[in-house]
Amino acid sequence: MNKMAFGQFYNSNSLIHKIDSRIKIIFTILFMISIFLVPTNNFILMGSLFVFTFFIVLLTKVPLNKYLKSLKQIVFLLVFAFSFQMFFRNEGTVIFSYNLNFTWINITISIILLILYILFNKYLPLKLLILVLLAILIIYILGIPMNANVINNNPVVIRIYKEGIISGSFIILRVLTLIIFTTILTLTTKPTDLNNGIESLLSPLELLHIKTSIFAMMISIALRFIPTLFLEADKILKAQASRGVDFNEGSLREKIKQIISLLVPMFIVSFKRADELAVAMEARGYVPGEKRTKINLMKLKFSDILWLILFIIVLVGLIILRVLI
Amino acid sequence: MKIEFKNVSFKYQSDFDVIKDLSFVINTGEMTSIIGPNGSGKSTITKLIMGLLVPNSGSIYINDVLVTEENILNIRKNMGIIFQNPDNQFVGVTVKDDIAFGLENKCIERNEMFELINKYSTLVRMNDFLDSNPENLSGGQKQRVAIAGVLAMETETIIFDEATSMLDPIGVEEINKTLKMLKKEASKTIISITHNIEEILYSDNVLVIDDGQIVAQGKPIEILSNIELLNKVGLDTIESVKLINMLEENNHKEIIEELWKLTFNM
Repeated sequence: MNKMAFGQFYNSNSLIHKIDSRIKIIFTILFMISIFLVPTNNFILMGSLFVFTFFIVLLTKVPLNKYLKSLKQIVFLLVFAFSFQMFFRNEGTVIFSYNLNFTWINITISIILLILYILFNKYLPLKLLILVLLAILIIYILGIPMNANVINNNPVVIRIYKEGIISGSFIILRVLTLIIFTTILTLTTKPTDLNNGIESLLSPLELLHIKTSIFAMMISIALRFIPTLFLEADKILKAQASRGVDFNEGSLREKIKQIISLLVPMFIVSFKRADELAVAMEARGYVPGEKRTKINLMKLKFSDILWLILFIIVLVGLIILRVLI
Repeated sequence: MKIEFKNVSFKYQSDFDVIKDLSFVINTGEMTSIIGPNGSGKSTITKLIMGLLVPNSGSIYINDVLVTEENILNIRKNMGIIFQNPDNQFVGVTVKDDIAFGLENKCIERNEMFELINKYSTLVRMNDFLDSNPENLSGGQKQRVAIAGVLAMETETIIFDEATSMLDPIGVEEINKTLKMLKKEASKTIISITHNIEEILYSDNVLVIDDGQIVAQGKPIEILSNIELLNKVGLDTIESVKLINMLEENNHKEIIEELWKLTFNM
């Protein structure tokens, strides 16, 4: 139960973990700008940024599968971006072309395959992989010349251009580097440190009479209560299950009903909690926006400055390159 | 800290008064237990003392000064309260942060903060858990952290608002130990709302509240031996008092004398 911690933080106490959270936030932003400053299709520069990122990944001492987990969520995006570049570019040198024959036989086979997939979808492992294989299979079947009535007299030709593949790969490399680098930030910084860092970075806004401290207090309380609310939700789920609510079965309509039976008590409990917490905070002398001292002091170390300088050099170097090229 | 209620009435949005024309005095350095059935207005009294609620009529004096909206923030700095639900008053992400929360509000220097945290977390025996998250602590431990948080603010008055009612017997025992120690070693004014007989036994004064009014007031012995009164407000008493009562009905005078002595160590 206690494992329901929030965020992705992985404590391996590495060199990167020790960097001040503010510096980490700043250099993540600097690096993101750097990534977007790399001229399109410049694989050498993008590749070196990727290798640089990978080097930092090794420094974090976080198991690589943690990074793979965060990449898993964007596989679809990557495939989509790549296919888009590959199929919808229509200039340059053709390296591959493919005729699609829309005859009755081809289309019928394809539709049967699709129906089979939809029917057995529930029982298949590795759904995404099988879907991709199915798409390839259908394209292949459509490619087989058949002696039958053609529906469409203009044959559809898929042409793949060299430029499309190149820019597709470049985009994949760019997104990969970006995602891996931001994952470094969330894997190596505690949510509270991240919050403190953001508060400290936003503190100049106090001069404009924007109370950033209230905002930071809100975030920190939200972080504090996420595990508590998870436990609460679990309790309510069990309580409802013991009254006969089945959260796994049923039609969409029933599912919505079941979710409401979770949400309503959840809301009531959360509001009650919020109310009591507000009273408790007030009783302990909290006045929103008033001056307070802080127990968690953030101190810049010399090494933090060196890290910052490193990323500034990367950014400035890229800007100079951009101007020169 | 002397707390005085003069003809205080209070109602929430509804029409009926939760507190009806209530007057009492709590003297400096005394421990007072407030007992009464659920919904009798006990918690409302503590919120009125803390200035978290404002009376509809009547007045509250603290150290002989009338409480107003202007001076309440200052007065509140000298009071701490521990609520019923240990989860809903844990503000910090770690034990250390939570104890520090009140200190941060008081704008105490960082070094001094660490000293206070160390001192009071040791006092409630939570000093080994300073970096623990609340979800890894038991209810009793969380409640002790809440006590440390209030103690660290070094207030004159501490209010326990049913602080033990959501805890298991071990948790209750832990809090009782801490309370006893506080009473003995620190000369604090303690107000405790409780259903716990042991807690009532070692307080100096007991206020019995029913339906927003005081129905009885006195030493623990007087209150706990008044079975008729306790039955009326739906409260229990100690087993030995029940026994004495049974013997009384059957006229066993000498045994009764002995038992009284044993019960209250006279």
